[in-house]
Amino acid sequence: MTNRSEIEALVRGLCAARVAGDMDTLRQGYAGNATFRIAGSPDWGALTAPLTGHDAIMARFESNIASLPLSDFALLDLVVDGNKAAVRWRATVRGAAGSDESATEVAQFLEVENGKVVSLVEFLDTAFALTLLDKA
Amino acid sequence: MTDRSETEAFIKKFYAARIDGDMETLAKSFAGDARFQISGSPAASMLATFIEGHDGVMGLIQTIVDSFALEDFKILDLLIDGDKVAVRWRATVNQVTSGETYETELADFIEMKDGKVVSFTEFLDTALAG
Repeated sequence: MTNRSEIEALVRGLCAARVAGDMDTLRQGYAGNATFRIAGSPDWGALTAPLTGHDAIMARFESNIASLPLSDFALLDLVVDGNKAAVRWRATVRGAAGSDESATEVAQFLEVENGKVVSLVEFLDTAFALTLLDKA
Repeated sequence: MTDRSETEAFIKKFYAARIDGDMETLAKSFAGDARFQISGSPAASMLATFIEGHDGVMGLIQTIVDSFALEDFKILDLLIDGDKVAVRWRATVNQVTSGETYETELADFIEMKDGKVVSFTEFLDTALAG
């Protein structure tokens, strides 16, 4: 069991790590059997394909950090209830080619066990994300 | 301040009203100065929008209710933290105008004050919904 302040600190730390590209913190924040998926139609291919296991999730994060850098990060909402948290944040994202810089909002639903994330479901602007991926 | 059980009952009634198209209950649920946002880039999605004020919000909700019928609704996560609520839900959506049907998952961030919604932000699959 992880208490509220620990979950809040974990979520804030993982958001900051994503923006900073701090893979060490991201690696430490996820359980070995964690799952991750972006909510959306399976028709969107790799974007919405579910990932299972620490290695697969870290590979995705590493790729996102390299190809979709974030700036101007702002945490808009953080809702914590038991071992679950939901966070809403905004950031400016830039495509790999350096074009298509745009502010976007993301929502994440996380489940935490023993101080680590075991499940992450992310909501983002799939139409915008597919545009970025097309140009990557 | 609204207590947790009141908030949970309110949220369940709110979504039941959305499914049934019960505009009277929905109208009572929003504060006069409520804000409603569908998250997304207006350049990439027609549905991305931000509206402020009860009349504007209700106009948008009427359009949503008329355009997107919901079946097999299920709440997957309901997080309540004081006046803030986060809901993750799944439903089969029937786009009334096109007849197209698909299963999809949405997330709502809701802020309440004095038993009414003052802020509602919805995340949906913008590439799917248009």
